[in-house]
Amino acid sequence: MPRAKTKKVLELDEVECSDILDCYINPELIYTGGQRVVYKTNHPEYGVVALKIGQYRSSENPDGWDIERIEREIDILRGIDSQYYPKNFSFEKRTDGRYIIIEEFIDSTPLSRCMALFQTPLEILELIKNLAVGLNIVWEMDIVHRDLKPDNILIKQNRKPTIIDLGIARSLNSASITETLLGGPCSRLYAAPEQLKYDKKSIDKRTDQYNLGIILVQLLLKGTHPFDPKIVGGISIPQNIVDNKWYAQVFDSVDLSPIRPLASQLLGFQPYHRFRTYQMLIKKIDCCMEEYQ
Amino acid sequence: MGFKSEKEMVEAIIESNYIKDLTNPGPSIIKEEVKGLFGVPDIIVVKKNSEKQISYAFEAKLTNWRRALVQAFRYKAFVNRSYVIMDHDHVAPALLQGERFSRSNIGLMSIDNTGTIYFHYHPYDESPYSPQLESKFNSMVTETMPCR
Amino acid sequence: MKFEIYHQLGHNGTWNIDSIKNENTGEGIIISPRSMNKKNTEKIEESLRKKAIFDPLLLNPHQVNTKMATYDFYPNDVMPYGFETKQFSQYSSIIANKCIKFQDQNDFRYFVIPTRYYNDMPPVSTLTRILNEHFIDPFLTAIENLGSHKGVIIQLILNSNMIKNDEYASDLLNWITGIEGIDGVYLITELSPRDKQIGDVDFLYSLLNFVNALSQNELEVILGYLNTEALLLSIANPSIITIGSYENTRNFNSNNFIYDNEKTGQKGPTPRLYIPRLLDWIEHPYIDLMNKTDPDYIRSAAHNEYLDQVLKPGYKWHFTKPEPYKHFFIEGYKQLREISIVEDNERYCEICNIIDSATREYSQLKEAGFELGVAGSYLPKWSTAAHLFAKKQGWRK
Repeated sequence: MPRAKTKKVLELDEVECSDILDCYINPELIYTGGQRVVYKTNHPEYGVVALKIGQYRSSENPDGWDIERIEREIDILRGIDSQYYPKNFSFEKRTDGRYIIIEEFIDSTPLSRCMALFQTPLEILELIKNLAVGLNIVWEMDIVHRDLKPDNILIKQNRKPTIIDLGIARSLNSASITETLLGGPCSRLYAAPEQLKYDKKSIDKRTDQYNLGIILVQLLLKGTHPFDPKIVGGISIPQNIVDNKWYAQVFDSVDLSPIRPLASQLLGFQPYHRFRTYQMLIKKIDCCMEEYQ
Repeated sequence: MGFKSEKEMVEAIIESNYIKDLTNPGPSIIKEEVKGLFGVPDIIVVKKNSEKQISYAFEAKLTNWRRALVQAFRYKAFVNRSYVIMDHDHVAPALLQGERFSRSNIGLMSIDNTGTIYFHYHPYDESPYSPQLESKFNSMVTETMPCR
Repeated sequence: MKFEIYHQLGHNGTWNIDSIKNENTGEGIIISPRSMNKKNTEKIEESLRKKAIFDPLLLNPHQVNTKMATYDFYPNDVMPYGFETKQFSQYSSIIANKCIKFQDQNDFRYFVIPTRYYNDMPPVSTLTRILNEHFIDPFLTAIENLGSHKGVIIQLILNSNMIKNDEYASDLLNWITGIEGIDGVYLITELSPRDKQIGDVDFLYSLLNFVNALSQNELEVILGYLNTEALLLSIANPSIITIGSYENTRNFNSNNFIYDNEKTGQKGPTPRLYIPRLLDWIEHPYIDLMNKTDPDYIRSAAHNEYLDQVLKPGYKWHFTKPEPYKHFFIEGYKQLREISIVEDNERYCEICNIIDSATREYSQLKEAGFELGVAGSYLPKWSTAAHLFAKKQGWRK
C-alpha cells in the first residue's frame, strides 16, 4: 500500500524514484516539492535516515537543483561532526539527472512552525546561544551560512536546534561563485543589509549574526517579524532592513530590556557594529541569560 | 582712490615726509622686509643718538587691519614701537577697533596716494619683549647691510 | 577606559626615554627605525623594550635612510634588484619573516604588521587586497609559524579623505574588524593641508567615530603622531595615545618620510613652549612677554624645572634644545593623565571644561593686549566635534 501511495506522489512531482525506493523497506514520505522528495527510512548501516532524491539542473532540466550548491553543502557537512548539523552519510550524483543524499534523520519541526515553543526570554536566549554555538562550528571553518532562517532551523524534541541548508554557505577563502541577486542568493526576509545591497566584500560571519538577530527578536515578538511593515511602517521587510527600521520598542518593557544591547548589536547595520568575535557574542548572550536566572 | 598694491604703498611710506622727519636729523637706518626675526616687518627704522636707540617697525596693509595688527604685535618682540599703516581709503574699520590698538600698544596710521600720513594712535615706547630677538635685531642693524 | 601614554620617538629619542625613566612621563615608547638604528634599538633597556611598540616603517619602501638600512627587513635588502611594486608579493613572506623575527627577538609589546601609505583614495577593495597580500597575510603567517601568543597590531595610515568619507570609512572598519587574529590597530592619520592645530571639525568628528568604532570592537587602538588633539581624541576611548617632541613626531606628514630629511637645511620652526591651560605650544617671544607682564601667569600654568630653565635670563631659544620638549613631556603627560582616570561622559565633560577654559584664557589675553592672531581659533571647532560625538553617544541631547 505505501508503495502505491508513493507512485501517486511520484507522478505528481514527476520525480522518478521507485527504482531507488525499492532498495528500502517501507520508506515514509515526509516532504515533497520543487523536484525533490524526502523519505524517512531505515538504512542497514546508518539506522534511521532521511533519504533525499532530487533532480539537478541540466540542459534537459533547467528547473532542477543547482548541483554545485548541493555538492558544496555535502562537502561542508562531511567536515562536521556535531549535534547542530545533520550527519551526511552519502551523496550520489547520477548520470540520469538525479541525485541521492542519505543523511541523519532529525526528528524535528522547523522553527518556522514551532516558535510558540519558546516563550520565556531565557528559553529564547538558550536557543539563540545554541544557534551561535552551532554557527561557530562553520565559522571556524571560515564558512558563512548566509541563509539562516526559521525554515532552516529544525527543533528537536529536546528543544536543541539543528541547522540545515548550507546550500548557499560560502567559504570566505574561495573564489566567488556565480551569484544571482542580492550579492549572493539568500532569503530576502532574513537577509542582512550587506546582502540586500549586493555588498559582497562585507559579507562575512557577522552576516549570520544579523540573521540570528532577526530570529531573536522575532521570537520575542511571538512570531512577528521585527521588520514587518505592519509594526514599523515602510513598504516591505527587505526595504526596512535596508533602512534599518525595526521594532526596537519591544525592549521598552522592563522584562525584555536586558536583551536590548544583544539584539541591537546583532542587528547592527554595518558588520562592524556587530560582534567582532564569537567569544564576544557568547559573552553577551551569557550576560543576558544571567539577568533571567 | 587707494593704492593698487602693498608694494606701492610701502614705497609711498618710505618717501613720505613722516619717514623723512623720523630719520632726520641724526644717524638712522631704514630697512625693508627684515627676515629672520619674528615675522617680517615691511619697514624698520632705527634712530640712534648718543643716549639711546629707538626702533620702529611698520606693517603695511591695504585692507586687512586684523592681520596687520597681529604682525605688528610680533614686531614688538624686537622693536620699541610698532605700527600698522593702512591704505587711507580702507582705514575706517580699523578706526572702529581703536581700543585693540590701544590695549596692545600698536600704533595706527594711514597713508593716501598723495603721500599724506594720518595719525590715529600713537604708541608709547616700550622695551622689546624678547631679549633674544632684541639682541639679534640689534646685531642685524649694526651690520653693514644694503639700506636706503 | 584608562589609556596609556606613549612617546613617539624621533630625533633625540633619548630625551623621551630619559623623561620616562626619570620623570615618569609615559608608559612606553614607539620606536621608529628612521630615527634609531638596529643596534641602538637592541640596546634599549629590557624593561622599556618589552613595553615598546616597534613601527617597521614600511610605508614607503623607496625611502630607506641610513638608520633604516641597518635593519635587514627592508625591500631593498631583500629584493635582488631593489624594491619594485610588481615583484613585492614574491618577497613579502621573506620580508615578513625577517621583520617578525626581529620583533620577536627584541620582545616588543606587540607584533606590528606594517602598512603602505596612500595619499589618494584607491577603491577599498584594492587597498585591502594589497594590504592583505603584501602585509597582513604574510605577517600573520610568520607570527603563526613562531607559535607566539603575543598580541598582534596592524598599522594603518589613513588620509583625511578616507576618514571623512562615511562610506569609505565604513568599508575600512568592516574590513579591519573582520580580520581574524589581530588584537588592535596602530592608527596614524594624515590631514593635509593642515595648520599646527587641527581645526577641521568634520575630520575630528569622523576620526572620533572611527576610533570609537574600533574601540567598541574591543580592539586596542594606538593613536600615533598626535599633537594636543590627543586630549580631544581620548574621548573616543583609545588604548594608547602618543606625545612627541619635535613637530614631526606630533604631526604625521608623509613628506617628512624622505631620505635624510634632517639634512635638507630647512629652516627650523620658531621655538615654542607648551602651555596646558592654552592647549597649545606658544611661540617663545610670547612666552617672554607673558613672563614679563605677569611672571605668575606662566608659573601657575605649567611650572617645572624646565620652565625655570627656559625663563632664565639669557636662555637661548632654539627648536633643537631639549628644555621645551622636556617641559612638555611633564606638563602634557600630567594633563592627559588627569583625563585618563575618568571615562566616557565624564571625560567628555572634563575635556569640554578644559577647552572652554582655554577659550576664556585666550579672550583674557586678548583683553590684556595680546594680539595672538588665530591662536586658539581651533578650540570652538574642538568643542563642536566633541559635542557632536557626545550627542551620537547619547551623552548629550
